[in-house]
Amino acid sequence: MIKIDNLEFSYGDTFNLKIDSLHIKNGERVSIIGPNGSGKTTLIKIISRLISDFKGNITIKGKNLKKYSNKDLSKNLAVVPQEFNTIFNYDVESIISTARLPYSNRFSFFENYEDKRIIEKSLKYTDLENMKNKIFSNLSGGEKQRVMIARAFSQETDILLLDEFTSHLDPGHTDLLIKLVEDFSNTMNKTVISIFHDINLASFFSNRIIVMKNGRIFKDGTPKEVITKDIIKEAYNFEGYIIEHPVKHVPQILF
Amino acid sequence: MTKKVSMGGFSPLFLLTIIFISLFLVMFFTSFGSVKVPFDEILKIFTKEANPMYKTLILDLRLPRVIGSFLVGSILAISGNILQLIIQNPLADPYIIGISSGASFGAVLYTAFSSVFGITLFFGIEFFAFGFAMATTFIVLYISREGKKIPILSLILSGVIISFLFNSLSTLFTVMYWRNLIHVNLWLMGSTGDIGWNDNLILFIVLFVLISSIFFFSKELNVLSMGDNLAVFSGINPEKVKILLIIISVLAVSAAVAKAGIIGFVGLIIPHIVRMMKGPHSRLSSLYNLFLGGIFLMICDYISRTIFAPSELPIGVITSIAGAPLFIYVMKKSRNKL
Repeated sequence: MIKIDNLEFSYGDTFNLKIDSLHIKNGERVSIIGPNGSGKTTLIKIISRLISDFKGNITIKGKNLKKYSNKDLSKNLAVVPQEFNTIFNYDVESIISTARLPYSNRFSFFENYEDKRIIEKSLKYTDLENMKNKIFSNLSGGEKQRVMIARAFSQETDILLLDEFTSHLDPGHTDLLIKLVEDFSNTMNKTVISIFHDINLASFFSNRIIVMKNGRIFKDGTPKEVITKDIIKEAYNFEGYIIEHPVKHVPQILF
Repeated sequence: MTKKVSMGGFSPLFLLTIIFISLFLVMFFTSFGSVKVPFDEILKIFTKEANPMYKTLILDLRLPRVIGSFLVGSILAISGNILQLIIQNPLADPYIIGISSGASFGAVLYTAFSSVFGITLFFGIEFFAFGFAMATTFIVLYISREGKKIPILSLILSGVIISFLFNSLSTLFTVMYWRNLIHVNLWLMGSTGDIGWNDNLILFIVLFVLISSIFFFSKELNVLSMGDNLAVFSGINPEKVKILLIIISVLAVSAAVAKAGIIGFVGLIIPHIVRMMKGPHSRLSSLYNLFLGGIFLMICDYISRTIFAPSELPIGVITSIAGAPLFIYVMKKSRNKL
């Protein structure tokens, strides 16, 4: 699905990202963790084309990333940013409808029935139906992220990129959104790449974890292989205690 | 507080009302002025019984001026809306990226050349204002470029800096040759009094191009106003759309400035009021901006030519005096609903 080879990117003298090889298969749920400044967000920015002056070779679904137009790329890849807000008073439905833009035609001035159906479906899936006419900027942080997830679902892409999409949310909203994405990606066989600050969330959300440090991939494996006392100590310089999740049976870390 | 703003805020009744008001005001303001023309004379104008004096007054002087005011108001309001959405700043006006300072400098330079140095120039003051307005915009776009991108913050900053530069140059010239240049200031404050039918034709074409490009790019413009990143995620190349729309609206505003001088506030308040009433969707709000901008400027023009009749006030003075309190009122009332 996504193949990254010999990727190199640097800005300033201090930061450089260097990934020799990272392949992500169809339907995988991959989490990227690592300390601040380790290059997680930069990597997501490169894949989603917010940064384009990198060296190396990235292919998405067998086609070179540099050969994609923005429009074609957004038919294959949807992004949920860490935080999103608008200055103008757009309603929820307007925000979600931007997801259908890659499929729209410049000369179609009226709402497309198909688009409307897909948006309705996502609204229903994320339980936002009664909020669709509300002003987006008046919503709470959790509701905003739910809208952004509904937006990403409406884009109908095979790949979802989530950039710390729960980092500003309370446990209730976090749980709700994690389950939404989990359920969605399982039933629709989506490839999900998400950045997490919370190691425990990454551990039970994903089947593969990539630990980044200083712009390099430091460890890559299943949660059981990666969430160990030594690896966490080396990556984050933090001495934690590992226990097993009582239901999911994946490693969890305590302070 | 969460007033319902439905998709696009389309209300045919409202649109019909403002179209009707526009038509009515065109007639009304053609009728009233320093010489009052009875309504029935206006209606008779295209028939044989028309009074020839009224006919000249209306067809050659007043009607082109009223329509010119309407067109200039529409252009300023629509361009103001486009630039506010692109810059993601509800308080921006169409002059924010340096158009006005460039236009004034062009006008000052022209007057200096022709009346101080006695150089006869082939092109008129309008052409100079238009050319320099466009030139400043290109300088601003050039300076604000960072690689392939045009970040909004550096666009605004470059606009401010270039405005300062050209305003200082204008001041410098004015101080040096103030005797000859003092009337440029009046030109700069704006007047729709010199607009004739030929000018109206140009303004109409400009308005038509502006409206059509909004119709074709409205979805892109709306995503752009939600931020460059979301635009990329939605499959848009933000820089392309940004540059295209900025150039089209700057062209339109420069044409309006060349014909009517620098008229402030229209491009700032009208889009703002439209967004408050109808939400930010650009396609329909452009239609509302068209009529409301036109109506506002027709009213200001009427005040400017009648309040101290027979002498005229520059229209820019009226738009600001009427606009500032209106704007403060709107702003206070809508604190969190820009």
